[in-house]
Amino acid sequence: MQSKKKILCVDDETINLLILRKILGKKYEVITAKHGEEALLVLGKDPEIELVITDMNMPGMNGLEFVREAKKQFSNKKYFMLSGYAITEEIQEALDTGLVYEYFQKPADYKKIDQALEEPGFGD
Amino acid sequence: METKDTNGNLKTLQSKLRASEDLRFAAESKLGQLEELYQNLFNHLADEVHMWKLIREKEGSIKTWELADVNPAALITWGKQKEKIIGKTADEIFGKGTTEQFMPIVRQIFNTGKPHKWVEYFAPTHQYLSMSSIPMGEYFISTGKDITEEIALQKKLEETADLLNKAESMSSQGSWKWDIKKDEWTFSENWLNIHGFKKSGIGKAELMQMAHPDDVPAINQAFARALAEKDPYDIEHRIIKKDTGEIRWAKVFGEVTFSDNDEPAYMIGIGRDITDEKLTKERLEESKNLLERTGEIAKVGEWQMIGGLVIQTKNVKDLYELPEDYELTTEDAINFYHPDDRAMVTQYVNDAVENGRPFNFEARLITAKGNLKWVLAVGEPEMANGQCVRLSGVFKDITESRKNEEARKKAQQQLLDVANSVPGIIYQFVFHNDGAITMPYINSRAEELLGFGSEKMKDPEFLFSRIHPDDYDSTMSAILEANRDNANWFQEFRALDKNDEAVWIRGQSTGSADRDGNIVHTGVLFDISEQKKAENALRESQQEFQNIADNLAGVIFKYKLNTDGSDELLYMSKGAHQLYEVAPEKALGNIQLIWDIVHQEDVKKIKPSIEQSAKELTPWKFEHRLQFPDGRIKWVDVRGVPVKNTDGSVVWNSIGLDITKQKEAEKELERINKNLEKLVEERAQKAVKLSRELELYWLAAEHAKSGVWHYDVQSNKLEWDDIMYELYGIDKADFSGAYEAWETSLHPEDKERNVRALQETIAGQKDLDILFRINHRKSGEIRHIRGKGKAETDDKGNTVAVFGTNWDVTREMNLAVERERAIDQLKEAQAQLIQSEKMASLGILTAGVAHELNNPLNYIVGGYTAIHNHLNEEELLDKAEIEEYLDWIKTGSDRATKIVKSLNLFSRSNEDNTEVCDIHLIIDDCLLILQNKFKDRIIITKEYTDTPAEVPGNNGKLHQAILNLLANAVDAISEKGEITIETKSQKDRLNIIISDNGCGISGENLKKVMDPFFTTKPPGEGTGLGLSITHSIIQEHEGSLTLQSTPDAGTKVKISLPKERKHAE
Repeated sequence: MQSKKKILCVDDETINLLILRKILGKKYEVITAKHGEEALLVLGKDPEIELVITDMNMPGMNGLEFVREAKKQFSNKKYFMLSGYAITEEIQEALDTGLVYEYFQKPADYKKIDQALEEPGFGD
Repeated sequence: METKDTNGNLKTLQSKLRASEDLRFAAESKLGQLEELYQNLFNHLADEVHMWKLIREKEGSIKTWELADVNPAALITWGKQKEKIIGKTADEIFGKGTTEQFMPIVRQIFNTGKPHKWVEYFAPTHQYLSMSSIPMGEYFISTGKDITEEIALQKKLEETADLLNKAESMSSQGSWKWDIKKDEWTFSENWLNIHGFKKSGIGKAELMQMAHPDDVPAINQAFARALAEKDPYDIEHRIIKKDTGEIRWAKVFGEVTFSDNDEPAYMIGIGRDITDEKLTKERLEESKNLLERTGEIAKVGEWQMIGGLVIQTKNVKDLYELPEDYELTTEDAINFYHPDDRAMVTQYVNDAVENGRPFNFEARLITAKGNLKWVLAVGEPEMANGQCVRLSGVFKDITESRKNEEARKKAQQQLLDVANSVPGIIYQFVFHNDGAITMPYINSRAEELLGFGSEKMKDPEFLFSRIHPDDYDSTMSAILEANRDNANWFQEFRALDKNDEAVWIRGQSTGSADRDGNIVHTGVLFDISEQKKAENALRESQQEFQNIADNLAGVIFKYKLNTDGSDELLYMSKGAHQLYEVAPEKALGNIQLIWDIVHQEDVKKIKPSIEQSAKELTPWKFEHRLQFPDGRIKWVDVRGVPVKNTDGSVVWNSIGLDITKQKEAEKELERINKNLEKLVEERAQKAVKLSRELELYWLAAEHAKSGVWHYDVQSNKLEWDDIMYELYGIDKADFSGAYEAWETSLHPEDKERNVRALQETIAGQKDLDILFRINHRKSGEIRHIRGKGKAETDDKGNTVAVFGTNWDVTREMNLAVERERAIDQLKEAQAQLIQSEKMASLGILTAGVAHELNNPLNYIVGGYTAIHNHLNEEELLDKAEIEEYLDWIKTGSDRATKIVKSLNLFSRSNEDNTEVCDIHLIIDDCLLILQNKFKDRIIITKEYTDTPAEVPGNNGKLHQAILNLLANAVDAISEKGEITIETKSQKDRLNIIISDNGCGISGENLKKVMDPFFTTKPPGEGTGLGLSITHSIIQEHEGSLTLQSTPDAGTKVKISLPKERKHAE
């Protein structure tokens, strides 16, 4: 039996992480981190992680900074953003260049998120 | 401008100026003293002092020199008058050849730059001079000490020494010395004469050849005895004169000196030719014998006394210069002797006669002709039975030899006299040809020189040991160098006296070789300690002078103005380098170099002042500028004291000090003073302007035009003055004078009011004060009139008339209306501003709120999605899980509610000022709104007071105000920082302090920060209204708002609100 894909969720709000774990937990193995630096460490320890969802507004690195840094070190992962912010120019650029795969605005439409995560085109 | 600081600066500058003045004064005084000292020494020195100025050829070599200055001592010696010789060359003064004579030395001192000392014979003045010349720039100073007398003295000594020698040679005494080891004999000239030969340095063998063969054994024996037994050598023997073969008798006496190991080293002795005596004695013997044989008196010069009668031969009579037939008695004989010698003669004779003692004496005789003669009398008594029976003897005329003896003694005395009269110590110093050094003679005064006895002083070794260690080498080498024929020894040196203190001595001598090759120096020593002290004092004072000159922040110089108007510098100290930036030597040669540097404008003023100082011989003082080629300016303070010379020229001894710094300080002081004055003037002017405006204002007020009216109640008639007509625009001709005429001018709306007021005045005698509009007849315009009036009563108290004034207040009314309008406009604008600020606040609000709501909404969505999934996917419902999801929803909705509630607070538009406002709640609300802006970035510290923080006011407005201040604090911090919010409760006030450590506000901006539209944010960000509105809100609440800030450090905002309002609406 195929083991679940691993997904890393990064958000400084505990409840948000809980929600993500609950909702995504059925399909994926959810690993969490509360901020960018912790997330980088986790990615380094666990190379099996394939997907990453991150919030924008976090202490230390914001979401975009974290994705940029993570992409440098771990380019074979898919990065998504889930944030309360509207899309800014920066974020638009990141989407255009493929740095961020897709951006979801809070409050989240979990159906949409589900779909996006399922998309093939990822080393299956 | 801070006047306190200015005063402080002024005081410091003043004290600095004073200090430099004092220093200058001290330097001047010192200079004056030194100058005096120098002048004194110059004029009173016994030595000659003269200063010469070099005259050079075109290519720079020295051609000759001319006299620049000369002291009285020199003038006396030269026998010249100062005026006649100043400026003349040496050749012109003393004759051709003088320049040539001294040129080598002058060249030398200028080549080496060092002074030189030497002895010179100067023919024009017949002087021997001890000279010293010192080079000084283009001048040299020479001093000369006249040592002619000393030289003459030396010569005299030499002559005297010669005389002495001659005298000695004429006496019959000679001296000899036998170097036993070398077997060398040396003899004095006289000794050689006695023996009749010239040679010296012979050995004993040759010497013995001269002795009479018969006496040789005895001589040898005597020698042997002396050498072996140390007896004195004492012998009489005959010698055969080498040159004549004559036999002479010599009495010789000698002593042996032994060396350290008891070996005979030298024998020295004297010898005397006693032939005459001997002959005399022999003759006597002979005569005696003869007498015995013949019983007769015979022989020339013999006499005999028999029984009291002196029987003499012819020659004796010649001696006495007696005629041949003269009978000489014993008494006579004795009486012919010199009165002073008679006693002696008598005694000898008596002794001979009574005691049979033979005699042998010299005495003076005064001949019959009165001539003084010296006789040698030898007598032998013949005794028989204890009684003298005969006395016989011989006379010898020894006048000549006695004379020589006298001459010798006289010469010796002369020498002693000379020796004693000279202030110096005469000595004789011999370099022997065997290397020994002796001091045969040194005048007794030598004892005074060093305090040692003459025996010590006669010991050259001892004397050398007393030479000062520092002078030892040079002195000794000079002394040893003088060990040659015609050597001149001249030395100044120190010797240590008995107390080991230094005494300065000048010694000079000339040496000449004697026939044995010994170099004999006859010389003089002078104690020159005093002189040396004076020389040292002079040198020290010159040194001090030089020190002062060198260390002065300026220059010392001698400036000379000649009668023809030309000028020159006689001296300039090293300070010229620093001050004028010109080498002093160059300045001395070319004074124009200095004039070129003096500022052109000042040159014109300086020259006349110099001339005046020269004319009146008053001290000269001038402050002037120097201007250098590169444009720099220096200030110099120059002062000089003039001295007039005999040729009419004037010399200033001057000092120049660099006062550039002082001048700059003075200028600064002036500037500060001027600024102060300007400031005072400005303020005064402002005050005057203000008072003038005020005056004008009052003037205007006083001269407002007013008309006068009188209304007779009974006749209903109005009387107007001219101004009234003007005010109403009615021609006098047209005015009926009826009351109605006035009424018709009134504006319909005001008519009723006015009439009523007038009636009230008539009835109740109340003062009239009305404001109304009229139709100005002439122009048809509406005018505003202000009227005042009083009632006139009769003696019964009834009003008979009303009278008063009217004046035009149209302008004022219009202004008032305009003002009202403007105020309304302002109010409107204000309202708009507040509105837009509110919108801006709302902007902040919405942004904040939107962010804030995102997360709670997310929880809610998350929650219900989870429940939805759960319901769809699970068979069994897990109650606990559902509970968790519901929890999320609750958390989210609670949060959202809170935010929305706080929003409500903001949007309240009521104007109620009497609400109870909880400041802590308000602050917390605002923090919530702003949360996203500072979360994880800025640390918020709340220090709330424990007591309730409630003030009366409007919640909405206070929210707006505090939100604005907190938002500003957050905006001030660009990356990370801290904000502290304190609340403090005082008795009747509540204080809120918001402090941040952000970018701060500059001093300039701090004043403007509450102005509307003032912002430091880029365009588009912020309206710039926040603080102005906040400020007005706080003011509405009867509170105060103050800001403190330090750029790059942070800002502190303090709000103080009253707990009780006075003017709540």
